[in-house]
Amino acid sequence: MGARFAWDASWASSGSSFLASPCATACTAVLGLAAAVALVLFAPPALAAEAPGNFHPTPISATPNRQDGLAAFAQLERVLRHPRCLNCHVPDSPLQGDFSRLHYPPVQRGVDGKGVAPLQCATCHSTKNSPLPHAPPGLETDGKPGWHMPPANMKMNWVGLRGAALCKVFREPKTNGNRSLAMLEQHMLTDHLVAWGWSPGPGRALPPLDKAAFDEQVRTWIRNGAPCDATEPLRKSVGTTKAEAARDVADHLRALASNDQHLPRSQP
Amino acid sequence: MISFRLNGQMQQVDVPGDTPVLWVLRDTLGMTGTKFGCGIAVCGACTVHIDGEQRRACVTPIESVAGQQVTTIEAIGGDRIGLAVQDAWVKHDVVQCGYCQSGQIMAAVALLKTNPKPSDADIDAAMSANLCRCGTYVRIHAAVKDAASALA
Repeated sequence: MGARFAWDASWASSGSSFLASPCATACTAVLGLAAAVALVLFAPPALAAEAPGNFHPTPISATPNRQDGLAAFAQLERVLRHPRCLNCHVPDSPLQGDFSRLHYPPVQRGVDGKGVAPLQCATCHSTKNSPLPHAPPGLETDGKPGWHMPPANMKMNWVGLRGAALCKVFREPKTNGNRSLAMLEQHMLTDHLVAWGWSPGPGRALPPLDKAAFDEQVRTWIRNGAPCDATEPLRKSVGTTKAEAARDVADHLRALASNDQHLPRSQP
Repeated sequence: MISFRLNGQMQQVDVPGDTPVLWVLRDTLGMTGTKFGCGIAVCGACTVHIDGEQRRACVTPIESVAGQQVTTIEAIGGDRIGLAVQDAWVKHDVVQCGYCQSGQIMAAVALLKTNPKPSDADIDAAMSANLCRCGTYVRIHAAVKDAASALA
């Protein structure tokens, strides 16, 4: 499927398996269209957290400069390895605080990255930061508590990684949540949980770059071919954005539904 | 005006949207069964259920529960799981000073609603976010286990 269906991890698996199994004859066009509409209307939560509005992906330069790209990632790395990011990009249970201590209480990641009932992230992380120091931070997603870490099937663990190793885990769809470079840029620039890192509430250190500088380094890294080391080929395409991928999926399903109309129905 | 269901009844309150649910319960509505402990979602004394899931009322803005079902300690005995936990609490004489016990019971019910047959480790993990300065943890553990057995 390639980058066309690169997507949020949990959704990608079900979406791609659905696409890989075209409707049998008994499957009507109505079902296909309903699925297409549902996919567009009920996009995965990660979509809702990222402003789709005016995002335009940074194209890769016709004359990319590897050194400039590597220098930009070196700046990004300072942020990625900061506790505001790294505390949840971990192998198992989250860490907390500026010293990345073990999380209290000893919560678990859970399948969806939102904890294991009855002790979920939302138990203590509400819809907004508390004004009081030492309280769990919060943020809102569609009116509900939105705190979470990466899901179990895509842990996006960065602990112990530096330089090129971190860069590749960050860049490659198979380890970054099935994100193309365009989706990765959108995530970095517009995701509200990423942005929370710069509004973490009282008593928490800010990342070493401000958000505007961080965004600019993301663009610079991508514009220069998203390099991770001195030898590998530079990237030539940023792939699809989330909106484009959503349209592709919907179009594909509509085409399937349309084809189904011409298939003979199974006999009762 | 913010509307929500409180223990099964429609409730409307005229407070700023960022008022914590705990303040609304205790100060606006006079329901003092839910306790103020640390005020920063660390001790668990203020635990309530929002649409069946446990939440720390001290950091939950009232606007975020609009249209949802809030259940407090006052109504937790209204179903068989809550009743079994209350019975087990009495049987094991769990309470010492009692201040944390509203939250402990809310956490125990939340556990048994999601995991009817918790192991010892499950109980320890689920109850680990509720602190008890009297140290009644052994009795809490035994009561949760007993309630699960009674419900089996």
